[in-house]
Amino acid sequence: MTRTIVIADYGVGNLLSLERAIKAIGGQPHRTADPEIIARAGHLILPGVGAFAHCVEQLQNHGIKQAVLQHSKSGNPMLGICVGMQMMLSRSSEFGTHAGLDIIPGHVTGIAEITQDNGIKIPHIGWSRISYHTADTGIAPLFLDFDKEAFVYFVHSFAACPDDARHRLAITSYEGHPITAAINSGNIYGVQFHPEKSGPAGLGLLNSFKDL
Amino acid sequence: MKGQNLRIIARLDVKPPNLIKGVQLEGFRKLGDPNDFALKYYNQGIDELIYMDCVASLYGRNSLADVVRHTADNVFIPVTVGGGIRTADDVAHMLDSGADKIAINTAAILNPVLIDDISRKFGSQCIVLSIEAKFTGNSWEALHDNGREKTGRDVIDWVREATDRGAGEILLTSVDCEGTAKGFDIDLVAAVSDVVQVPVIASGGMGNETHLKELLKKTEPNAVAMAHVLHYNKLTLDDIRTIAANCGRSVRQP
Repeated sequence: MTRTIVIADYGVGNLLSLERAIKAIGGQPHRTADPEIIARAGHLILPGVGAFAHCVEQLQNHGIKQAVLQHSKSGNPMLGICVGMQMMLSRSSEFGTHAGLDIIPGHVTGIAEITQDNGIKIPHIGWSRISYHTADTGIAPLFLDFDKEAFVYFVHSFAACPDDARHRLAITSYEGHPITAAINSGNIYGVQFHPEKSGPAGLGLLNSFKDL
Repeated sequence: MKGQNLRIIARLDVKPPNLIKGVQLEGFRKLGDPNDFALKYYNQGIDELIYMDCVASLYGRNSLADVVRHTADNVFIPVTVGGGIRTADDVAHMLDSGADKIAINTAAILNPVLIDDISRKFGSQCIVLSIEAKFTGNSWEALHDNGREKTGRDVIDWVREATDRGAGEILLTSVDCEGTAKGFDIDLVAAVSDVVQVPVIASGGMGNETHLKELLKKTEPNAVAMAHVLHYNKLTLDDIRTIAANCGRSVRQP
């Protein structure tokens, strides 16, 4: 049976590419702003681009913020992408301090603050390798089939800083500085990069998510 | 290998439904279906695509939006679109059609506040300032409308203002070099890269591997956009990655 993946549609970003990527891996994308469907989704993707505060506000305006929170407590797999991932944290300091969904404790701050390096280009736009730790829990299921040498596509000016290092699933190196590439807690995943824009490697990751 | 990975971008100038290749931004040749080229480059591991619409056909049948929607079927890399985008609604329309970034020149020059509006609404990462620079003897003037219209604006001043207003990236095309296949305007790339903190895409003039080597030896663009060498099969993506690596720039290995 084709697995349905619900995409929370709150009017932000390019969702067509995400839908097509899900189709390409044999899934059935279901783009919706219906809180009932989102709360009960088997697999939920929370996308997001642009400013953090704008995304949180739009989530609220579309009446789906509670539904996403409800889903996060269901134990079903959720994947946040880019700002969708950043929103999973407690707060962000992008253009003032703004509250996030607080699904994973931590904050979001500027790459310039994290790196303390004014000589680097911001936004960070480009393809990079990522490294994910295997420490106490082994490789997270999302990365089981992921090729260690593969590059993925990033475009962001802010980055996630989870309070608990165990929630930091993967990092990338930007001009020599470590930047969070993925976060995880239970069945909740967030990736800073865009799997739907990362060629075959990204599609592979979405496929692993589909199979969770 | 120092610095960030160099992005290798295929620039697809379109007059929907055809891919065209211009000569110094005037006159052009039809090359075929842009989606065939996009898919071919994707399969060879291109990092990104830029569609530039010379006739600004955003809506309706055989529009740029149509081309981009087809690309989104089977090409899973970032896509930037430009040509005729004038309002925030146009931006929303192109994002809904599968674009990730929007390149703006004319509308931004005529109404710079548009950059603030778009970056606030869609994020800085979404707005690429497209510059058509013409060398005037000791500096560069920003042109628009495919290099046909003068603005009197100095390129360096303009990129400073536009990035302050929220442009997240610069697509820097030399009007003098575009379509000549005689090499990049290296001084232009260096001058703009020096004054902005956002990534710069060097575009216009690449005709052979020496041009790329010279550019990468003397400057550090974040990305290079190319058309001629790809569309006419002068170089493969593998060749280009090897050249970049030999110049000390790391590249994505697909």
